[in-house]
Amino acid sequence: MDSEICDFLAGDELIEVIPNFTSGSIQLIGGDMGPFEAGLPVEVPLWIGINLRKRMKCVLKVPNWLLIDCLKDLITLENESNSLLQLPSLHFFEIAHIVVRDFKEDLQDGDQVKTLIQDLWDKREAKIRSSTLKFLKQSTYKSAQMDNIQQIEITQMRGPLIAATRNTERLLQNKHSTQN
Amino acid sequence: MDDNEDDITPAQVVADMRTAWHSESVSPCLLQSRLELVHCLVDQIEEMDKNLMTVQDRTHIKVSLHRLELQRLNYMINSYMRLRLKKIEENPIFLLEKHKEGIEKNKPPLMSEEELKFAHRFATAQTSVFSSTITQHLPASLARVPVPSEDLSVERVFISVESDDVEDVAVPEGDDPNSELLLPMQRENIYFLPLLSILPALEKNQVRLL
Amino acid sequence: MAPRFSELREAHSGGENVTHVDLAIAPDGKEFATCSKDGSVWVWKIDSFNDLEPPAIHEVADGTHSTLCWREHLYMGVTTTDLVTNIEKRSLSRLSADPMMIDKTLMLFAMEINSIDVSKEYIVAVCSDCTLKKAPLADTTNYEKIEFDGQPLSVAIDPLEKFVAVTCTDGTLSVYPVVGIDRLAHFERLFRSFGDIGPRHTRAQVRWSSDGSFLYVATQGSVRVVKVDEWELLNARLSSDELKEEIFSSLALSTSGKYLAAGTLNGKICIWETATKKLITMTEHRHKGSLMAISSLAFDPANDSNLCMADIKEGVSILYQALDKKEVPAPTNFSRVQADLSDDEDNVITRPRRSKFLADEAMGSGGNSPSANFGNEDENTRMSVDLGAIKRQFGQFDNLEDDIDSREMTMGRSNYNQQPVYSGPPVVTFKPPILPKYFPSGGVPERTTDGHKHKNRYLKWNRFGVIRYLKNDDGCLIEIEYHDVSISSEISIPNDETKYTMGDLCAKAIVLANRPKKEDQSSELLVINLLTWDREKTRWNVKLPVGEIAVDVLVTDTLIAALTEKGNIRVFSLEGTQRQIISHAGVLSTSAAFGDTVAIVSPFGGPQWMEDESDEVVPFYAYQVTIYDIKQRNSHLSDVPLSKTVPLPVGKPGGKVFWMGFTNRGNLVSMDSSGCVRLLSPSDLWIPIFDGAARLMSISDSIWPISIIETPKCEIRYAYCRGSKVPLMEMRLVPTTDKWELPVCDKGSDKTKLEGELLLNELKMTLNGIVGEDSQTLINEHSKALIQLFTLALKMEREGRAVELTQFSVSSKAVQALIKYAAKQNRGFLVDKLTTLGNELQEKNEEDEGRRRPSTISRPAPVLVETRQRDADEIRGFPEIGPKKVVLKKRESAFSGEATLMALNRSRQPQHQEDGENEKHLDEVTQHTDTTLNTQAPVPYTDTPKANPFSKNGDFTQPPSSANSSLFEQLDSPWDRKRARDKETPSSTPQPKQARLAFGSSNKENAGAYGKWYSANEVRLRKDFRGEEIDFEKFCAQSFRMLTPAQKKEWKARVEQE
Repeated sequence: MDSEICDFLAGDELIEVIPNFTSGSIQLIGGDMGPFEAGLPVEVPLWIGINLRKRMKCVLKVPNWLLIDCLKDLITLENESNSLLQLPSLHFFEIAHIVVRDFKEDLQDGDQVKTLIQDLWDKREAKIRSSTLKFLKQSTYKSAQMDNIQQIEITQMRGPLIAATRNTERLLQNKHSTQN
Repeated sequence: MDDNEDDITPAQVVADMRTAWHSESVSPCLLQSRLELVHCLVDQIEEMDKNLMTVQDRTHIKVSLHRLELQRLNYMINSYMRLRLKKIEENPIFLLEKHKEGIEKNKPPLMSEEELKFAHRFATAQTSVFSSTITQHLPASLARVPVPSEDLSVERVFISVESDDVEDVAVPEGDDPNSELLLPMQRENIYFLPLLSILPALEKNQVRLL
Repeated sequence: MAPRFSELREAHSGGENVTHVDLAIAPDGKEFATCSKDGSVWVWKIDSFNDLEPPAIHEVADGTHSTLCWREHLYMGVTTTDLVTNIEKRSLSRLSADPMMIDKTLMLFAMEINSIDVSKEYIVAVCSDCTLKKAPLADTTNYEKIEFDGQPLSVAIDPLEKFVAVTCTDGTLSVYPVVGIDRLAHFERLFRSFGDIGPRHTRAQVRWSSDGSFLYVATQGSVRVVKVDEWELLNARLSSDELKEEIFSSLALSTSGKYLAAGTLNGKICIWETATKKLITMTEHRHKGSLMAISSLAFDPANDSNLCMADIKEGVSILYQALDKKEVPAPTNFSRVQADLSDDEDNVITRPRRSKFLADEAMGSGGNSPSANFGNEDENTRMSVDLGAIKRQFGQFDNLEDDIDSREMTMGRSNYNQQPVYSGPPVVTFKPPILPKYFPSGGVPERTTDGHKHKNRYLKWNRFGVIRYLKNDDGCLIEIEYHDVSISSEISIPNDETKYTMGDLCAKAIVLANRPKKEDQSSELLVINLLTWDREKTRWNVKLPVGEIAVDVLVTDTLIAALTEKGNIRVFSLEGTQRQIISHAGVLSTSAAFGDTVAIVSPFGGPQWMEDESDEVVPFYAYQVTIYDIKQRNSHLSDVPLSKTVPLPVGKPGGKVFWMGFTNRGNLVSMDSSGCVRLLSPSDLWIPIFDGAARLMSISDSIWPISIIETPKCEIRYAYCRGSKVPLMEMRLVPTTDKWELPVCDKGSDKTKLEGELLLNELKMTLNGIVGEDSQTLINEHSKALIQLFTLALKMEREGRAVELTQFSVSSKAVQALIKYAAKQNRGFLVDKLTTLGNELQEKNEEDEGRRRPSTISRPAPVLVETRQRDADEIRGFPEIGPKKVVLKKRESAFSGEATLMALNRSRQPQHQEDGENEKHLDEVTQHTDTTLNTQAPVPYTDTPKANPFSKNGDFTQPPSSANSSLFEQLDSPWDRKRARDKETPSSTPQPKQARLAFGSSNKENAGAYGKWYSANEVRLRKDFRGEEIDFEKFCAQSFRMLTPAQKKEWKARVEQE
């Protein structure tokens, strides 16, 4: 599991695009979508959206949570709470990244969006890091609850965290076995 | 039998495959085999491929979308197989044992038939390599390669609680290995905890690995 | 002649900075100099000023302090930077004239110099460090310094060289002797104190009268006068009522001494006659349209009538004829004295009639009028009536509200012969209501409701695409963009010359039109024909006759219609042939077109009156729509009426038409201003199908319809506009889709849901026509809903309602089903009733069939549905590709998985029934079914859920295909006995035991009989049955069951005979 796989998994999330062609529905193995009607928004998985966009066959309808006002609200909320905020999508950052990269013509103020997303990421990362460090410093609790953490954030910090906990576990086991 | 089983849609198969793959990639140990999903998907892919061959208009947008999907599925399946095979390769003999134990206990199989065969062959090949290079030159008492066992006690995983009314999970305390901490499991909670504590719930599909 | 300004010249930094600019007349009187902060001195020639002769610009220092004084030599405050030490030096310097540069530094200061004055022998300067320095010119090193509490603003030496007057930012005026530092006089609170000196604050200039007996100081609200020697502030000020709010800043005395000019921070320049203290003129100075504060003034020495001025935005100008008043036709009873009164712009109430009465009023109202003293002070003022006094006198008459007050005064003034004062509500002249203007349906009108123009707007937004009208500084452009780019890519048309303001588009063509600018020009149409044979000539133009001004243009698949102001509909074919000219009776309100039909909305009758929410009486109109069937071919053969007029409902009285259009099947729809969408059914009934108001989240939002769709689903597509009635281009709207919804009551309950479904279904049936493509499905759905309502009614023990419901059924099958259900419930009485009713209905239906009349106006043929892309796909030989059905194989499945899968695959494929490719599979299976039945396979015929209306769940939503698959599963794969046996166990839907047993047993016995009967009756059955192939078996089976037992026996017998 690495961030590329996260991106791949994010590709299955649904987004709304506005096609500029009309076509009947398409029966993919993974489900049915369509019918496509020019000018009307239709829900498709992200990977289809990207492909259609590259062929200039659709325009993205930017999801509400990627609008600047909403992002600003999220950042404010993230600032206010100590715990992690529940983000509007399970693949928030991946989708945001893809939208900014592949659908940049459809996004107004792409730069501002990028900065806001980066801001949000940094804030969350800071929280995660500080709590992780605190967790690693202690040995009483072997578990931690981290609600609302995103898959990609887990992926990022998994490596060192798992390695560290393996070691602490071994040390603890040694300690207990010598004590007994 | 057929009655108990609802006819499952291909979309559901894909979704299950995705979860299985995801879980396999984050799991420290080999999870139970879901190769039937793979077979099913392979079937679907081949069928779709055949259908696509018959289409006259190769440039139609649907064709490319279908093909893209096939590529995605292929990638997923291949990756899944590769992950599992890699884990098998690391410790084939142990896993064969584990598999046998599992069958005796009536649990769903750890490895599929093909994987079993692969494990066998690999293990045999491994032992033969060892023997031809080392063990045959060693005195009998030493001519054994120990099979490393799997120590899952040091592993920790991230899980997300999927279903409601999951029992509280007991996690041993760090200071006192005899006492335990009970964690309430509510839907959409995300925990980072030792694998062993959560293994039962995982097998029942009440939680999923992240 | 009125005072008029010369051209405004921009000096120094050209108006970029806002700063004080000082102005001084040269000793020779032919030029004047201005200085600002930028270190340059601009010398202007007075005579040639208005000829725009460029000034002489002299760079004299690094910075100047906006103050200069020119007597013999030019004295200025300057900032110079020492090149060596890089220290800034602020000094009072003398400049030589030619070349203009600093030739002597007289005094050094710590901060900027605010004001300088020079007399014959003395020089005085004040600085922002709250000091004043004065010295004889001969020896400026020997200066006297005076400290102040605030920053001194302005300084002046009197002509007799006795005194020095200084104003400060703390609102004070002080007088000192020229030699000596003892203060002689001090006046406070002349204006509001402030902290920093700047162009936004007053300069509080002081000027001495030419004889040195008075000192004038610019204060707040007036120019105050100080008597010298007594050092008294005179009560009499130079001001007027309008000037009470002004802050006077700059002063100038004419060389003759007769006139004093003052400038205010609001750009007013007032000139008084010093002797009489009369206000002679008041003018307003504007810099590029806005009032600009006056920085400094100076009279032209040669001509008292010319006043040079500079404002804080570094604009320099000369006011000519400054002393002249506007010419006013003097009424006969005016005395010349009156004519001297101020004649400024806002002189609504400035023409007091001279009468003795008035003069007395002005004189003697006693203590009320503060100007009473004014009158007393100076004899001459008796004749010059203070406007303020007059106003106040009249104001005392009444205590009514202000507007009445002023009006009263006006009226009183104009007819001042003691007429009775009018008191009552304001008299408003009646303006009869005007007919509403034309607006294009689906386009944004040119002007918004508040009146200002949209710059960029949608000329049309419909289901095919958008036409945008873009206007910016570079020019005007029309952009046409189709939703579906396969119709056409984006087209851009430059619109500077052609100025198209109307347009329409459909899948085949685009039309644009303009309004002629001048009387003798004509409207021009441009048509872009996309599907023309002729690749070269896709566009054509036509000019309408002069006088026929196009109001709107419409385009359909077959025609182009231009509506003109005269009410004519001019029809052209798509390739450009004129085909029809029809006159429409009525004012055009809006219009729409589809196929061969053009519909026009006009107001009907005169205005009707009602009270609206704010209790105002407002006019409104009733509307009607005229539908024209425009035959381009064979119009000569038609003798039936081709137009009909239908009144158009607009909701509550007061509502208006908001939009009109056609569905994609050609039925007229309209939306009123409250958001309700109504469909005109083929039976000429208006049926509300959607309530836009329910979708709005706030009052300022609105629904903007884009298209209404009838097939394949009943939907409405619209754009949700936030905060505006029309979509604006900046909003980048995306259409929303919603289903039709009849406004049934009590939306929550099941009953009303079903009722709504029933209504919608019936509507769809009317739209579909008697022999439309979907009639069977619709009939089935109708029956379904009806049966559900029936069961609900029975549940609620409302047998009466149940009976009534039976009347509404559209097929005898439904009635029979209902009877069966009632029978099952053991409601014998009900069954009887229903049976009789059923028979009655049967007879009635047969009668009706005979009596049905064809409609007079042919509906637009359903054929005109746009070919869907799916058809295009099939044309290209693209089959519907879909995944095959899946069964997860367990490790050791009892079945041969492959066989199972194959069988299932075949059974799954009938799902895609439009696909010809799969038809053969279907036939195969069908035949399979037949053989199964014939060979007496021990498989009970279990009803599929679809045909079972009595299941508790009432689950009818499974598509036929899945029902089929379960059917085929049961009947299929004869080699798979095991599975067949499994299927014998009861399925989830409860089967009416009776039915199963009946058939099951009869099946065992009568399987042969059935087969025989079937083969004999097959042809008839096929003819009777209309619908899907899959349902046919069921239909046959059911029909067989309908036979009486006697008949069944008969068939059985026949079999046995063989």
